[in-house]
Amino acid sequence: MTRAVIAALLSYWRRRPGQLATLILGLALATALWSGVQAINAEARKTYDEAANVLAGGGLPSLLSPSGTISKETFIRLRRAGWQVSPVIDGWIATPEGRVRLLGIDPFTAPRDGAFGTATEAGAIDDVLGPDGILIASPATADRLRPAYNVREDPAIAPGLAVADLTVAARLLEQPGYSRLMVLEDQPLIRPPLEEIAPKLILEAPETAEDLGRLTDSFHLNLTAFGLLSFAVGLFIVNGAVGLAFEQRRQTFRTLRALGATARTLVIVLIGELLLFAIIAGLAGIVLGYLIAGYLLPDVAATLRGLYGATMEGSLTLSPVWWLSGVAIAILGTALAAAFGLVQVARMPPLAPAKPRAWAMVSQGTARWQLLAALAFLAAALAALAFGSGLIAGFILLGGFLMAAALALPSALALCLRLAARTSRDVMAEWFWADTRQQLPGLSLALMALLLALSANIGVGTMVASFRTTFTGWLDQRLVSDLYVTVEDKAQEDALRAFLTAEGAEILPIWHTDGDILGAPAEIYGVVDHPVYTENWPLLSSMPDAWDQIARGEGALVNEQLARREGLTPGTALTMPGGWETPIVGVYSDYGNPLGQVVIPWAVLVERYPEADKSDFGVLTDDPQALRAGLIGELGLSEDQMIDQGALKAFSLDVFERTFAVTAALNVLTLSVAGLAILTSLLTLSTIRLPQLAPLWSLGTTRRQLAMIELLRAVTLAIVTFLLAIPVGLGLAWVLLSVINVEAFGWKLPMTVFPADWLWLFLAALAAALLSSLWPALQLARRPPADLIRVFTHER
Amino acid sequence: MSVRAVFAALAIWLTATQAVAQGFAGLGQTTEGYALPDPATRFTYPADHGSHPEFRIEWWYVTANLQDADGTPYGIQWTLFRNAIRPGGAEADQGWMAHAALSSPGGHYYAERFARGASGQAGVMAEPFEAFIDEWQMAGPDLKTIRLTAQGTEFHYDLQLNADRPFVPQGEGGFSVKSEAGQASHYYSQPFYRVTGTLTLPDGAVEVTGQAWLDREWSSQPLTETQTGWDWISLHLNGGDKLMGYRLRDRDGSAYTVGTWINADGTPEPLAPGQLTMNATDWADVADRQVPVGWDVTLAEQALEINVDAVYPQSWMGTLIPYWEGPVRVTGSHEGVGYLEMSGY
Amino acid sequence: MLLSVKDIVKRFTADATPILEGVSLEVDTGEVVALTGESGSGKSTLLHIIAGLETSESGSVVIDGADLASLDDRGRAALRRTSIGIVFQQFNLIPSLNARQNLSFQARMAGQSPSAAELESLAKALGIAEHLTKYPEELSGGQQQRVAIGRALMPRPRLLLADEPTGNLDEATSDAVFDLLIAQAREAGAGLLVVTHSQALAARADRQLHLSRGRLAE
Repeated sequence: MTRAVIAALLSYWRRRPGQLATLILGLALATALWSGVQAINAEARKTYDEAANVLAGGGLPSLLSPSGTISKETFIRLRRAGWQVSPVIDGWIATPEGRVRLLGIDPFTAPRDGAFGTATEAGAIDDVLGPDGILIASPATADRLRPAYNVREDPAIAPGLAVADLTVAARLLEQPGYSRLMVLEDQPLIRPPLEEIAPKLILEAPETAEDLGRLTDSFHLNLTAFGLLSFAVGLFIVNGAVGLAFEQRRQTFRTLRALGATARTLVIVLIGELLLFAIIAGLAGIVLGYLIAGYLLPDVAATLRGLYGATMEGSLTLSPVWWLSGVAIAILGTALAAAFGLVQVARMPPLAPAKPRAWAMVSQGTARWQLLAALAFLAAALAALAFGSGLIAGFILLGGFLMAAALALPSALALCLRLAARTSRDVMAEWFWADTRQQLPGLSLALMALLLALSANIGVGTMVASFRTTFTGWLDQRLVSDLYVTVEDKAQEDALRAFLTAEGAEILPIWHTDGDILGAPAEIYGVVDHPVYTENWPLLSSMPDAWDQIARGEGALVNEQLARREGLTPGTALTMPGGWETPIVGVYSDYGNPLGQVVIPWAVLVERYPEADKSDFGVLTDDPQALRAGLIGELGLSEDQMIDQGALKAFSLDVFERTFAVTAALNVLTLSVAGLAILTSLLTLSTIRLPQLAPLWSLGTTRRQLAMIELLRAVTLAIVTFLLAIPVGLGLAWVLLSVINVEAFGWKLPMTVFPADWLWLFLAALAAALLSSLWPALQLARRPPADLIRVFTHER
Repeated sequence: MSVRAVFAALAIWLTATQAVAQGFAGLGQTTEGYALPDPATRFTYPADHGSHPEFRIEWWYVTANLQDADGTPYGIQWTLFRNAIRPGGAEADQGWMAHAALSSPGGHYYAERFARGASGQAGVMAEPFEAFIDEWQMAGPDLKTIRLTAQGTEFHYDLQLNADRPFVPQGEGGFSVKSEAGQASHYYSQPFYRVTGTLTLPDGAVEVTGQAWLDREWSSQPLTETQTGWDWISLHLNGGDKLMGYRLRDRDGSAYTVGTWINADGTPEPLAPGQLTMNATDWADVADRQVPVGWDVTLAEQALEINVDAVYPQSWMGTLIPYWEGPVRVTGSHEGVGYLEMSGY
Repeated sequence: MLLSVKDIVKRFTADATPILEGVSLEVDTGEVVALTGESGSGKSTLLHIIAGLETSESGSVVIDGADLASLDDRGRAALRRTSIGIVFQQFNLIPSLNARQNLSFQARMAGQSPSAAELESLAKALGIAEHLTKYPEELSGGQQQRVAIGRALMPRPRLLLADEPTGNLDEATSDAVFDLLIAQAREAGAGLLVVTHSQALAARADRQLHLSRGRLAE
């Protein structure tokens, strides 16, 4: 019996390959978007892990010197006291395609089983040892380093990193001391305490991938949210395709039952069928996801590099886990999408009327339930807003809000259509509104998908645009100098000062150092007392005489992200690297910077941090181009020692645009998926529409007119959905800007609305609706009259 | 001492698997630029206690047979290897490696250290004598009066060694031939140390006394390509005589066995190849392989027919290049204690 | 007795007038019984109850010694597969299978594997031999119903139930198909209960039953 049932059910797909393709495509697309995003995230995390593993010496604690480097003598003193430590020189070397991190290690004392193993392993170590030794890097990084450096390729080394003998690194980086000492796992029985041997060194817990992970968490969470959204939208397609297949096979189900197939057999065979499709689509989706991930990866890598300084190679690896999880998510998705249909088949009495209306009526019954669920989601969202904190609460707020909007959509649409029906005068219009309302249950899932896609577009678009506006405005304010100059040494600095004084230009040192503030890496800048700062640098909150205090050489300004993260306000004291305290006099906005930043008086910086980077200067001039030429011609500065305000702005904006390139690509994909969902829903409806359309046809409407009405209906629903998506999208934007952003990046952004941007989105929504309804409409227009007649001759 | 540690010294540059696969092949070719042992050379002390960086490899090797107040036997090993990375004798071109071990009824403990030349982390000074790597050291006013310390994660020892007899040149006036093909090294020993000191074990500290043996050897090309490993003994016989012997195993199954009989007054009697015989009698499963831990040793000229048996058969050195090294007891025509080292198993 | 129906009562909603008010009937092996009645008289409902597709409020249906009331859904389904052949008014062929596949379908459901020769001789007898590779949508109504009759007969059921088998056919086709149904049922030695609203067709049966206001009359 079962074999006969299988044959009968599967024969359906043989006769309708297009529909099978839609089902598989929808499922594959949903899986693809989800697994693609997962792949990107996994790849990025893996890279962080590798990098952290190598940089931290395989999760070993290290000894650091607060004053910078550790002398060779200190290292030897520790070793001769029994401390098993291994020195590391850590720095950056320039290549035409950006800098590469250079890690100098001591193959003699480095841990053999950790990430250094490969570097110190095997025969050819004579090439590695000694000041003229070679560098070891991954193939891609090696390509960047050649021909300037002698490199050996080793795929085990993390991307963006080169490993070399300590003496090589010391020569290339011109660094006499060690950056840190790794503390090995195995330590001997008797060992004097650190304070006796090297009292100035600090023992630090191992750096882990989490440090970089924390920094990039928000970005990945954004991607994940998008992947999930896309998956949800993809599920609407599957639901449509499965619904259509169930609907069209209703008669077959009934016949099979009448011929003696049990409901159980039927359901089991249907589950088997869907499982098969889910596996096929899951595998296809993984391949597709791999392609999507491969396509998006360069942008993601660029974002991570630009925004967080995290390196990631533009390549992907397919792991078995990934294959499995892709198939699993496809099966889960199918189960979600088909659950309703399967329950119906299981409960269907053998002689259930083959009337398609039964389906629609059940759905209508759920409208009230949906509205209740929408309220529940809204309550969850509000609860997250009121009581939650952190990114997770932010995303609960986001998810709850979107789900509530989607679930409330059918009721909202029904209300709109009822209102519209009141305005109709002629009978055709009356029928149109009534009929459209009747179609709602069948279309509501697809329309929910469209609503989600549209509001995500509006929301994310508003966020990006707001961000851009704020960011450019802020750049204009913050980039006060007209020209930025980097000097090579003190002599060049003196020459620069002399030259600029003669030219009547003003010079502002932009000296800075890095250090840990309240346990996290931060930047410390020194500013001179100059009116250009007081005039151009707005403070979010400050003591009344903030700039006066800075001018007097007192106090510190902190950026918004540091202030929010640590709950700092003007007036509180801040402990600076080196252990001294200074009062906070103001908080300023610092968009795009993942790090905490502190601005202190220039003289204090020079005094407290003699090792600070003293090579950068801002120059105020009326004619930057002339000055630039003068600096090159008369002072002999090179082109790349200078950058003008415009170029810096362009660079900053480029980083910004790249950050959101991925978002834009995912936006487009989500919208396409929503279009596909509408198509499958309309296809489902078109088969059950005949009984409703046939009377109109018999009453003198042409098939062409009927088709036009169908098109009009799709467009009308799309327009109404779009209008409803605007408030939802704006709500989404508000959540992103005022809740998620603060949690993720540490800054709040003012919302700016750009209705003009919605125009293209409106057109896109129309196009999606038109394109997806075109095929069913054409089918209707070309339908043989016999099909319509049959409505009157058959029960069905 | 024997050629035993040559292999281990090279471990700095070779991974274990590679080295095993290559056997000694790598050693046959790389003498270029290094000094070669000269039969005419005679030792001058204390200068020769120091480093000879113009040669490729060199070591300072101490083993000691110790016992506590109850007579429980212990053994310790202290070894410092020097290996030139490239010829020329520059300090910065030297790599240092050290092994320390302690064999006890509670187990065999060992540790391993590496250091870069000229870093100050390891080195040897002839006068006043000091050989060190990290906190491990062998330091005296001179090489006959030294303090020996080393430790690992589970053990520590601090021993005072005193010798009242002369250093003993091995082979022909210190020129020790390693094969029929003529590979050789400069080699002298100090087998007459009396030892007192403290061992620190996981169970606590133990006061011990006993005797120790120092080997000094340097060379540039000590083995032929077909030699696959060695079995080496240094024995303290109860009458005060000492016996050093080793058996270099060849790939074809033959062995090159030589040694030195050292009279109680320190006069050496070099043994011609074949005079000494060494035959394995007892095997033990150690670290997933079979290692001979019992030997029949004969030397007709001294009417010597003895059994040499490992005190702790599990004295395995799981270092980068692994080998077996531990204390033995001597029974038969002569009685005594000593050390056994075996590599290439 | 092949089919024995006793005191069937059925109403569609709890407070409605019963559509069947204690209906009893019997069909013997090899007997052809026609059931007539007005539209909405409950003919089809009675047939569905006999087929186990619907349940009655009270009364019993015993087919070949098996009481439907003692069977669960799976038991009734098994009975339909093996002992009952059903022909519907709206042919109910499986649209994605061709005529040959539809013809052999119920036999295969019942676990049989009819030979090609059997299939072809039945197709020939039904007059659809040349249409076996066609799909239902390519067949005329009469041809579709012939396939449906063949499908019901193929597993050699003991009882054949037909619900207005010619209701969707024109008069000429209707005559031919009805005759074919009776002939084939006789040939197979099955009992046939056929519901029809046509007195002319009913007259061709061995016995006629008339259903009116929920009660049966000979």
